[in-house]
Amino acid sequence: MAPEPPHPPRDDEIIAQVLAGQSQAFEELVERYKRQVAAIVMRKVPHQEAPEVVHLVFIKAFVSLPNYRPLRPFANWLSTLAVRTCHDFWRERYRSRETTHTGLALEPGGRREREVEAAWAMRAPDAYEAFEAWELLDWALGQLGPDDRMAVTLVHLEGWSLAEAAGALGWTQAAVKLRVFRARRKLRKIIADSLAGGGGE
Amino acid sequence: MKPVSGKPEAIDGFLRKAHDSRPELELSQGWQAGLMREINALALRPRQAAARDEPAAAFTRLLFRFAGAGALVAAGLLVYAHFYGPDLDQQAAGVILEQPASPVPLERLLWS
Repeated sequence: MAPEPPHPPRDDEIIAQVLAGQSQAFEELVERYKRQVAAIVMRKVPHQEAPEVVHLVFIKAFVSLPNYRPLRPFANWLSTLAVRTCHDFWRERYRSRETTHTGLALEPGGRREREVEAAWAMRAPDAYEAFEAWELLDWALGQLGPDDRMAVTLVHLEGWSLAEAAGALGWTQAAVKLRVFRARRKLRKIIADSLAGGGGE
Repeated sequence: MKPVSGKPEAIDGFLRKAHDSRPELELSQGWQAGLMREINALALRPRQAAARDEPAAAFTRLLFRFAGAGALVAAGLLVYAHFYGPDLDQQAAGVILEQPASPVPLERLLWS
């Protein structure tokens, strides 16, 4: 009878190796979870910035690994880290947007976003045809603050429960509920206004 | 992309569909190699990172900062006393400045 193939090491075994100084072992964690982290990040930050943000999530995970307690699965811990990194990304982005006064001009991909904005501003009749749906959504989400943006993305667009979103963002459930309610109303109004202006008629 | 009516339910549906239609993210081997290079570089200085993160080390750092600031104030007061202080204070400050390594006799300090 052929010997049983060795089982792949568990996450906590790999983490122990990394903490013991074998940093190469971290690559196994990257290999296991890069798709999961990418799936979280790609729906929350601009597409062209997503690889950089995923990179940052893993760097943060490596640096914070000594603080990880295996009371909950590593995958959950990493997901929380990914959500918070996206939140930090938007907070930083909005801050620099406010301080530079150059709007989106300095941001990679900003030109495309400005085109969307300009099309809506002019109530271009073919705006719906010219852009992808997610580009219009990004433009609409850009009208919200970073906290509202994250809350509405997680709960309203991705279907996370209030408890899950509160845990990931480090807020109370009441705060998440309030932000989602406010942001959803604002988002609907932005889309409805753009429709009323002739974008979709 | 098809237009959407202005009803809230339709708008919500449109938003969710738009969110789900985002393009997939492909992470290349080059991306992973770059990440591991940075991880390995970070791993070369684990002690520094650990020392930075430890709360006790943060408290010690704070203590040293206070000590440093206190020493600067003391030195400033000493120089001030040497140049602008009353007679005996000036003498005591002068002795301390001339012989900083040896302790000032107690009587001099008492006189000052």
